[in-house]
Amino acid sequence: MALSHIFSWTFIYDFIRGPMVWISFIIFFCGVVFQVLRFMYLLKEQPVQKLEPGPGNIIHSQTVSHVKVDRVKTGWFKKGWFKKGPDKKDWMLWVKLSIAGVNPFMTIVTTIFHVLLIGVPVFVLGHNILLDNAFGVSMVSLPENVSDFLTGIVIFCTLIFLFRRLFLDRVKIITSYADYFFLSLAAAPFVTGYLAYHQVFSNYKLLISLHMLSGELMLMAVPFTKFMHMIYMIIVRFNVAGEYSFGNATKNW
Amino acid sequence: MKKIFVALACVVFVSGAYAYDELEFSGGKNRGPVLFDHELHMYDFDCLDCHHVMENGENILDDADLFEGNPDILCASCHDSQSEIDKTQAFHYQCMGCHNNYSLTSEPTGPTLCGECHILDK
Ligand code: HEC
Ligand code: HEC
Ligand code: HEC
Ligand code: HEC
Ligand code: HEM
Ligand code: HEM
Repeated sequence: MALSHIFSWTFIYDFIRGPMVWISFIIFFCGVVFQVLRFMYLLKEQPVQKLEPGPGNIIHSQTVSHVKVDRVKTGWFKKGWFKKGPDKKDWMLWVKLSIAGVNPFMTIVTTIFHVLLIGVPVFVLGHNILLDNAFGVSMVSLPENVSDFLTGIVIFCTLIFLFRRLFLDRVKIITSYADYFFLSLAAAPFVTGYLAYHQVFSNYKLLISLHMLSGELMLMAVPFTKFMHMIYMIIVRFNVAGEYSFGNATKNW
Repeated sequence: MKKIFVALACVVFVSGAYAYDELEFSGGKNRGPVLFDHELHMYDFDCLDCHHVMENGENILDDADLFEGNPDILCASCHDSQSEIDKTQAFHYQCMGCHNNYSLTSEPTGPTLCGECHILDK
């Protein structure tokens, strides 16, 4: 193979849509497995200390301690779920104190964003036809006008994230350039996919190459950057005793 | 060089222009139409590379059946929603499959991704 061919546009194009897809998926999966194993390994070195609810852990807030007292009084969680459900008041308080109660708007935005971020690419016809051609697996796909609309919603959500970081002071002060970078990296496959579907520029090959490149970069970035929260968010909840983990609904400082 | 050869071949062999020299497929509701340069493909390949009637894994199609207006040679006459490979799959497997054969080589090839074939008319 001539060297001049390797640097030719057609070769680069073929590489991006061929071997590069494999490379990025392998790095993604191996990276995730490596990080999970590393996490488990580091976890072993810590002394396991179960935090029990007790006097030391009482939270000095009127509302929060009310929840605790109320629960102990009725003891619904001891009697079991079926005999007597939790007091309606408990649930309302619980919701109000959770992030969904404190900031319902962002909770909705981030939920929609994450569901679509993971869901849409799986059901995009453009992906599934390529999968079908390559491996003979025909997956259900959304009608293209629907997936295109949902792509627009993802872009809209990232714009909300962006404006929050740009204009809300309390978010702005904890935002660094890296945050903008990763937000763009997450948005890039959607923006370029949208542009490609609508063939906005006449150079479709360039657009779709940028789409594939950005998608591949994003996949490869997942295990090694803050995108790893996708896995860590979940395993932290099960494995690290703390304020946010299951089974220990108490502050641990 | 190849282009010149194709051009020459056109001059020498084509006695008249057929309606199927340039085919256009609709592309459905959400996709742009596909322009298929049948003639270009006819010079590079055998008719039976694409047209087939399969029997025991062998292509038994008679060249003589390949005339314009013969409904039996249209892909959709066999590849419908009942068959294992439906009409859209038949086209995609065949067109993209062959174009992909030349991936990473310096041979000229056809389109392999959606928007290169399904061109939106604006
Ligand atoms: C690259 C693949 C390919 C090659 C090679 C090819 N064809 Fe076709 N041909 C097609 C496709 C695809 C259609 C469209 C069928 C359809 O509409 O369902 C078609 C349609 C036709 C039709 C029907 C046109 C009509 O509208 O009724 C005829 C006749 C035909 N081809 C003859 C030939 C002959 C003769 C050759 C060899 C010289 C040939 N084809 C080579 C792919 C090919
Ligand atoms: C006379 C019926 C008939 C027509 C017309 C027909 N096919 Fe097929 N095709 C078949 C059958 C039967 C098979 C299954 C072959 C097998 O199992 O080996 C098949 C298989 C295929 C395959 C899969 C081949 C493989 O290697 O697995 C493709 C792709 C395909 N057809 C595309 C087309 C296209 C494109 C057209 C129109 C140009 C067309 N077919 C016209 C009957 C037909
Ligand atoms: C057997 C292999 C083969 C099959 C099947 C095939 N192609 Fe091609 N196609 C080629 C090759 C090779 C070229 C490049 C020809 C050249 O530039 O000399 C090409 C070029 C093209 C081009 C670009 C033509 C141009 O003007 O540059 C289009 C569009 C195209 N194919 C569409 C199709 C569609 C649509 C189908 C399916 C109905 C199809 N092809 C099936 C081999 C194939
Ligand atoms: C090599 C050219 C080619 C490429 C690349 C290609 N297609 Fe097609 N596609 C066709 C042809 C030919 C048809 C048959 C059109 C018809 O039946 O009217 C078709 C049909 C379709 C249809 C069905 C249209 C209908 O009639 O309902 C959809 C949807 C579609 N393509 C989507 C895609 C998507 C998504 C991609 C990208 C993964 C893609 N195509 C890539 C050539 C191509
Ligand atoms: C890894 C390699 C990837 C390849 C080869 C690829 C390929 C494609 C192709 C061919 C299309 C169709 C474009 C068109 O309609 O013309 C598409 C659309 C799309 N892709 Fe990808 N993609 C990849 C990764 C990703 C990733 C990682 C994401 C998101 C996380 C993504 C999100 C999308 C979306 C949302 C669309 C639809 C856009 C729309 O219809 O508006 N892709 N992709
Ligand atoms: C199921 C797995 C995932 C979970 C549970 C999860 C959870 C979270 C949470 C709780 C936040 C903070 C909420 C907020 O900012 O409002 C967040 C933010 C974010 N997530 Fe995820 N996430 C997951 C997967 C992903 C993936 C795969 C990506 C992209 C590759 C991603 C990209 C982002 C981005 C960019 C932000 C920050 C938005 C901002 O700038 O404020 N997430 N995620």
